Amino acid sequence: MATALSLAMSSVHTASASAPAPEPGPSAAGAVTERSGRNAAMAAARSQGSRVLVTDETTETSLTYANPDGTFTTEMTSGPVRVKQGRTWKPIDTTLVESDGVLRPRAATAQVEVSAGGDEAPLIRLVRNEDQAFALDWPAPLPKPRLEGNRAIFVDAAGPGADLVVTALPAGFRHDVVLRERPAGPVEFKLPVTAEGLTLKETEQGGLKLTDDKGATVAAAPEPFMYDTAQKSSPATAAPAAADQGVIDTSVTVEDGRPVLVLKPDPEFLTDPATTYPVTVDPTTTLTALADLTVVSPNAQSDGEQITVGNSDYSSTRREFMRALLAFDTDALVGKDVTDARLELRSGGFDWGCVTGQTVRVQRITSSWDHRYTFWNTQPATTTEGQQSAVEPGRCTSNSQVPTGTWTWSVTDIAKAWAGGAPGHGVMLRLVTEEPTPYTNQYHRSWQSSDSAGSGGTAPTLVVTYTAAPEPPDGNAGKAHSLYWTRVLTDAYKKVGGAPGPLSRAGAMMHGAVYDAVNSIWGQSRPYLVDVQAGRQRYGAVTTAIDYAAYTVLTEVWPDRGPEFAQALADAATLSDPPSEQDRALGESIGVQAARAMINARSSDGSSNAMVYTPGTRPGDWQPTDSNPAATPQWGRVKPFALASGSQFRPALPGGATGLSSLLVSQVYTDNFNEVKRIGRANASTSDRTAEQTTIAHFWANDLDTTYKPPGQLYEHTRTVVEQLEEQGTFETARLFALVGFAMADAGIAAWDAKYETDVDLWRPETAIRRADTDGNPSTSPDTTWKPESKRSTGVNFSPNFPAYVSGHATFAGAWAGVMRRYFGRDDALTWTASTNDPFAPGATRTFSSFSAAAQENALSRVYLGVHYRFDGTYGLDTGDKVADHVYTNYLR
Amino acid sequence: MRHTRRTINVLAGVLLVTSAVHLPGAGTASASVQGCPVTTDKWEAVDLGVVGAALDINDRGQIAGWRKGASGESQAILWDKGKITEIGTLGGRESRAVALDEDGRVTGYSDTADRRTHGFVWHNGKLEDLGTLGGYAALPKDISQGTVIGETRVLKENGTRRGQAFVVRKGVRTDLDLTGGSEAEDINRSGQIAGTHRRTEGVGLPSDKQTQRAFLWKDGVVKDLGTLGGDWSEARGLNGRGQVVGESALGTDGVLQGGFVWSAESGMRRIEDGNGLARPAAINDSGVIVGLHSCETAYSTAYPSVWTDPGKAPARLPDPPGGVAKAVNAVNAKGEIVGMALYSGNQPHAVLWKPKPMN
Repeated sequence: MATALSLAMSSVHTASASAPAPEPGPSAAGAVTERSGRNAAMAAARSQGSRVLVTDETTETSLTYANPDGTFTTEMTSGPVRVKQGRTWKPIDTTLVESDGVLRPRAATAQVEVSAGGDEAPLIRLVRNEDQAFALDWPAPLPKPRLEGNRAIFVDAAGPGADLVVTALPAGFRHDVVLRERPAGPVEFKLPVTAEGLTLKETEQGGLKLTDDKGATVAAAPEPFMYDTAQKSSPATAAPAAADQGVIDTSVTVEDGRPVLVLKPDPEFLTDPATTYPVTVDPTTTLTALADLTVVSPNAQSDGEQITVGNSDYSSTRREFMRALLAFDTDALVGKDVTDARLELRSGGFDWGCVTGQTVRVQRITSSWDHRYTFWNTQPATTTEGQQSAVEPGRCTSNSQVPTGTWTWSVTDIAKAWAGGAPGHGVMLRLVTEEPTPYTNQYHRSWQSSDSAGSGGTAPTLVVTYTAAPEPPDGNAGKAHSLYWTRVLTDAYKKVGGAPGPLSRAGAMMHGAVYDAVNSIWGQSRPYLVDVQAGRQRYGAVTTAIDYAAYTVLTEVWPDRGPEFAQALADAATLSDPPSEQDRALGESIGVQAARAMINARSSDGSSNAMVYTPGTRPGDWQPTDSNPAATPQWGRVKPFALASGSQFRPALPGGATGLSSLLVSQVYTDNFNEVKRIGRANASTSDRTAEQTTIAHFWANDLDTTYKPPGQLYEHTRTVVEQLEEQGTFETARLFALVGFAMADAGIAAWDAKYETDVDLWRPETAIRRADTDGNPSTSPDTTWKPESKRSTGVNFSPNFPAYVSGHATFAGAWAGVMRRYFGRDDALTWTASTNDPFAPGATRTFSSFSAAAQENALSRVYLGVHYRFDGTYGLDTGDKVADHVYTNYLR
Repeated sequence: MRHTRRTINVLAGVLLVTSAVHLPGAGTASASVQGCPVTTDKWEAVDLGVVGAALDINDRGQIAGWRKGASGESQAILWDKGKITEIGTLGGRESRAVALDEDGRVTGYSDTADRRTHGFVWHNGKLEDLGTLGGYAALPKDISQGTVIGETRVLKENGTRRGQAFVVRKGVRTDLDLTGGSEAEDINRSGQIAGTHRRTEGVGLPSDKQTQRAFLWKDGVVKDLGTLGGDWSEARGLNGRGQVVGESALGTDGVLQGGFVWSAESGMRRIEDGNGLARPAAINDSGVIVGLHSCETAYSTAYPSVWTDPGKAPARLPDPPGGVAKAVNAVNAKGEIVGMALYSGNQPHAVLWKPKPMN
């Protein structure tokens, strides 16, 4: 038996996802054979009816395919079988070729250099990284080796009739001394070791290990041994006699200041007449993170280009059993819905024995095992759950004609266990019956191991088919769509006009449906109303889903604007690369379903209930200030998006007032009345209201129809913020806009509840100042000609036609800032420049470094505009923030 | 056809209607509350009994529009003497009929099976696919004597999207030779086309309309209609006399705006908005203008309204029984007007406003 040493490199079994994938190309038949991403591969597989490789997911041990039926299949091997060279994956090919004066494997996961003869290069050099390398020297100049595939044979290098043989392996090398003749006397081999950044030590078990400067083992070998050739002799007709093996005394000494590996094969074994030459002296063995291994009773292991299960007889009293252990990196299966799995092994060529009822069974390993230290006595535990017998390549009819080929085990239940979270310790292959009596029921089966992969063999392969969510096709593609529809929404605001409540409702509906559409495809968080693909495979183009969710809501809310939304829908489809027809159709369906769920949920929310509002007659009661009746008096009764009701966070009255009359005579009313009277007057002098305050007043107004209104302005500011964030992806963009949308819509409802549904439906400053003689407050004086700075497009000053307390602008602003602050984790997360659509602040911008600063300025602007008291803003901001807290804490997470 | 060709007999009738009605104007402002228009009693609103909207009406009284399908999608339909004909789609989910001509040809747009937006012409049960007409989506706007005009959406190399006004006459598509983005809105019997084009692109956002101008096209010659003093204007409707209605900015801010009527003789004139906001949509040969009007410019509701004289304030069109009038889209030579009203649950209903018979 041969063993090998290799270095396990941390990168060996990790796919380099960031490396550019090979260009996808059509096959000769015109069908697509590979695509870089899951979604693209699935789309191609579905359209052409044949599977497509997902190149982004290729690793040294696995290939993943998208299947036409919507499932994926991952084929994983128990060791590396391919290696990435530049941009492309190449099959591992351990054939040694000479370059730059040394021999190297053509394609292997380990960087191995073998001497091409002479004394300049070490016998073997393994490079782990820039700082770590391991080399074995030979104390004498080496002859030019004879190359046999992956083997370099240095004839007589270890003495007359003693060859050095180095075999390149996928993840390392094996080094043997082959004694073709019985040596004349005791033999000792000394191999000076050069270990850069690594330390070679003996292990407690008598083996060897290489550790790095942190003490981590990077390579190890169990106790070395040697064997003669009897075991591998002619297996054709009957079970051969088992070979014996001899112990090699191993030590690491220091000579001339450098470590030397000293190997002393047991002289008795070498001189035993029963020992058949050639004898292979195998000093070291393998370590790999994933591997296959044969454990041999009574307490040995075997690692090489074969794995074995069966019995092997040494004498009439000694029968050994062999079981094989196979490890696979099954982490990627966790959480997947496995539909089929099978294990495939290719016959190894050392097969004998037909026994009725005998076969090889696969069992799931349930405890961890370390390849280096796993022997018969330390083999891991297994479970019979899901165990399966082999499907053999043919019927065994004669001991001399054992069928060979591909052995298959159905391991669906085992793979399901891994998918369900059972630790991925691999599988064990063992005889169904381990018959203890030697020379009865002899049965021996071998298969090619993962180490054979570099020399033309086929590594053990686990083929698992499962359903899984496609990866986000492009984490950012949908972002542009969300931003685009936000602009369509605010453009519609300009044309629709009216009070802000219905506009904010439309925005929440649109962004809420967009969120549910995105989440239905990616399943990343809790739905708001519906997860269209809950419990199903998640597919579909997220960009199309966003477009149709938004379009469907908008055409429902504003049915008279259908043509402009149809144009927007067509335009939106050009914002990103077109998805496949299947993905687009699914995306449309998902988007429409998400929108219909929203439309249904809002169909009887009370928003269209007509309500006649009769203003009160007491001093302090709101009165119309122009020809317009009270706007949307029903809005406080509209069913909120997140709140239990519009009154959930109903603010108390300012200054501890208990009712309208006590409010009118309170100090805060007096102060705020006189403030707005001075600072909010139409055309106030700059000593009363600075030019900047006048700008601020109009900057935030957007009261006029043809502007995008306060919710539109805040959506625009959200857009400005999101556009600054390159890393903000599709899902988070949709989530943020939905949170902002819900908070603003509920802020509108909460503000209108305070305006209309309480005892205090407070008059606007315009009315209060003109009628101050009736308010019972001696500290307020009337001005019957007073007008607010607020003005119509015609220049006529006006007050918005709804009660003052609390300010809608401030409540919207508080809700907006509250969501932004919580979403970004801090109030001063970034600096942005805000814009306006108001005709009396043309082109004005305001730059803010905190969300709350913008909200506070927004609230104060209403005082400068002469349409609100300062407390309308203070309490509005607070109400809005409470709404934001409720939305942010309870929704979309 | 959102205008109608000039028909002397019919026109005379409408003029009689007009002269017989004391519509509120500058001189009759007292008839409304602080300048808000009264509702006219010279038209009656008829709920067409269809959940959807009426977008155009020809002089024969045929109406093009859409209705809502079972899952909320729009379906192009034609009303003819109370009978509804479903036009169908080009393989996709939705379609809308936006205009029809005197011969009953209907144009509109439809989704296709591959989710593109194609224009169509439907005539006597035959649905013709116009394709995307050179862009990624085609949106016809009007049809007259079988000639279709509208807008095809084009993706430019720099990644921006814009409209390109087109005319399809006898199966031959011609792009109107206009710089910048453009859309054709209306075509009349003499082949004049009204539309809007963007003189320069990508300047002056956020308002995407700031540099737009209404135009009138005839045989390759583009007439820029100017503005009401502001940065932009937009054509909405055209009649057989070459009169154009639309909206225009009043100043440099691009936000303050008014409605206009343009004629070759008088140029662009602001129509009376009664201190509110006028958004004309269509004009017929006798000069009856229909459109939306808000009586205030803030926090006000826009109502379908009618101007029988552009110099006088409009009158509101009545609500149909049980609904609230919401949109007005076309007026024919007989003064018949089509649009949409909202019923409970935000359900749109197609509405026809018929002039009441003269006593």
